[in-house]
Amino acid sequence: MSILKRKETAFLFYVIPMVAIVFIDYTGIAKPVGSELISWAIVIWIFSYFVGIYNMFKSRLAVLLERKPGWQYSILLFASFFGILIFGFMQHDFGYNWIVENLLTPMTLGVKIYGFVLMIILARGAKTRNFDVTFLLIVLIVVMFGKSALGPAMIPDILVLKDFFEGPINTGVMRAIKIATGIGLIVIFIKGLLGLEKAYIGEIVLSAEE
Amino acid sequence: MGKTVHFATGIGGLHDQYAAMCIAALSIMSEVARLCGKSGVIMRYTCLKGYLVPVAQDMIRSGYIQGGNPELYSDDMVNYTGENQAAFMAAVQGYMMREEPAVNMIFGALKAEAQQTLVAGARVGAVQLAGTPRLYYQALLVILCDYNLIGDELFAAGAYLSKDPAQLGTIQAQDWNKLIVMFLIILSAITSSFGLDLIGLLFSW
Repeated sequence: MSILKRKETAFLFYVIPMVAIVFIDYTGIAKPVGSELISWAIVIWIFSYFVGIYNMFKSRLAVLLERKPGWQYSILLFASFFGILIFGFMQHDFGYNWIVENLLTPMTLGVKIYGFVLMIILARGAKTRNFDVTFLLIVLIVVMFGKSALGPAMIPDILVLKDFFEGPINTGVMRAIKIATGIGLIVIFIKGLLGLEKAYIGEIVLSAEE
Repeated sequence: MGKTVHFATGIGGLHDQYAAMCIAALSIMSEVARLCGKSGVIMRYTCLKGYLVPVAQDMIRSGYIQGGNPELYSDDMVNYTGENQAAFMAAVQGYMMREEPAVNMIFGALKAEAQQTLVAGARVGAVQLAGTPRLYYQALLVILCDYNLIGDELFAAGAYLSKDPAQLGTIQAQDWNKLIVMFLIILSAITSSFGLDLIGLLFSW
């Protein structure tokens, strides 16, 4: 087994720093050590950008050199990356701001049109293959109809139904999920402390199937 | 036949408050990688965090070795899209339209990228699986997926897939904890009806 996947390594790099940070945060003892650990974590995290960029460049360069379908987009990616990097380093406000305001922001907004996406989900993505989803969609229609101006005007009783779904039903389910999620979080934390859960260092789950 | 399997872990990473969700998603991915290796299917993993690249590469490589098809593995199975959510959405949607994967999975701490990913998956007719403990996205996942994990099921999934007795024990502990909480809720509801603040007493103790 690789030394990085040994239980001792997981303890050294994950469990001990985590317990130390929690202990220092609660007790206030040796605060500089806690700050130092967090600084190390931030430095490692920033360095991990390079790992990701290396991977991205490697795969995009292969697409470009082998002229795979869509290779033109790789040129765009490299040009964008180096363009914004150069303007960023030069502290060239005009160039940098122009890219952010005229390219990055409109493209980001274009991708993130939440409302529109939510509306087309029902048309394109909804999988009404079982009773649960069909029931959920019916409830959704009732609530939406109840919230609109036209709904209560046409059927006044729909408000009672809408409040019932939004009130006891919704609140109860949300609280149940919150409580169960909290317990699940504690369990994952304990598994991490005991060295049972090592997915964060690339440890594969060993199935007893074979 | 010959189509790929797509896997993503969403916006949450290992360095933030969503670490537990990301760890649970990674443990599911390890089993998916093993099954892809066993079936000779190509898997693609898309991530937003640079540090997940070596972790995922290691997991997928191990999965293909365990599955008996190590020659199918290549480093470009892991795609890093940058730390920007919109870039991730655009990259995943583009990938979906180009490769039309047979299965689309997204687990972990999911935000708006989940709905975009799943809508794109639905458009190409992929079988969709997703799960997150985040409340806001529960209904969306139910609507968009063929199979989904609700709430804490994500935390139990990795342990369940491993069939490891020690990990299965944690699921049992989770269930017992839930039973205790349910018992306390019912008990406090009854005692509150008689004017006794049981939970308040417990917390002050």
